Amino acid sequence: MRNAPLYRGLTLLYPREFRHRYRDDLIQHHADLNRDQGRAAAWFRTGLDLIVTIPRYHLETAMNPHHTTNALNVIVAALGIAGLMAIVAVGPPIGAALLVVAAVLAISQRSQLARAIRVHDSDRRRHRLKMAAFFAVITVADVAIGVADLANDESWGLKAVIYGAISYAGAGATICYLIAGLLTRKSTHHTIAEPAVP
Amino acid sequence: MPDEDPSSYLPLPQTEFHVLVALTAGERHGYAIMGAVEESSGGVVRMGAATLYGTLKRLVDAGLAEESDRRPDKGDDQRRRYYRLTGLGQHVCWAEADRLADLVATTRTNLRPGLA
Repeated sequence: MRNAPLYRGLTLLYPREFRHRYRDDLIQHHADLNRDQGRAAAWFRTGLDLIVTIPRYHLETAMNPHHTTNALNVIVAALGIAGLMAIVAVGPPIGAALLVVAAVLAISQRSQLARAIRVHDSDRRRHRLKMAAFFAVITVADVAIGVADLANDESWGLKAVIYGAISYAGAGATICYLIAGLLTRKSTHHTIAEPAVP
Repeated sequence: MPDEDPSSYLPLPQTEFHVLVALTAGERHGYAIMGAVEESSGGVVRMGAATLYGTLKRLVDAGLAEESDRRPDKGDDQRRRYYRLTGLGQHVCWAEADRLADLVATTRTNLRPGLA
């Protein structure tokens, strides 16, 4: 088992979830290979395996629909807010361009959204409705504070844009989460009948 | 949530089918699965550890295989985990075998029409 520390260290290069689930199995497997096929053969096979699987599993983790959707949502929201602010601060062409990019990204996301709202999971339903409520509170608070603040201030400008951007983003998030939550099924228990062996 | 229609899993990637076939013989741990795959493929399919466990992970996540409660025999490493086919996994394995059998039959018919 002299090779165990080195291979144990190399397994740290795998994505966390995979490592957490299979690290002990990988190390045991490598030890078995060493015992049965010898050190050189075991390392030859393991080396090729490491070269192929480490980038592949990282790519799979990065392309996980959940991660990808979250990242795109953040990018769309950031571009949208930047676009609204740019219209006032820099000028309509740049702001409009940013909004178009945000809209294109959001539209390209429609398949992920469609998949997401079909998930049968009551925890997700609850989470989405809670998020809708959270963003609704943010939106209402933003509008209330904005109205009070701007009523006593004659020079609107950037303040109004910021309050407006937050309220639009909050209202949009509220609507999206509300629709997704209402369309998510309540039941999580979906029994698969055990099929007879053909 | 796994799809219950076996045909929706086809065609299976080669490594996944080989692992499912290895599990048709009964519950096995990872190293035994690797040995069975090598044997059944005549040494053509040789999987590394991470390739094997990545394949097992996909099969378990898809509901085609599952970890069993069986524990290793005395004298063996007690941390070993055993895997087995689920009912859905058996159906998918059958469906893939049928698909490949049809393909083989078509090939034989086309290449040796007089002998079909």
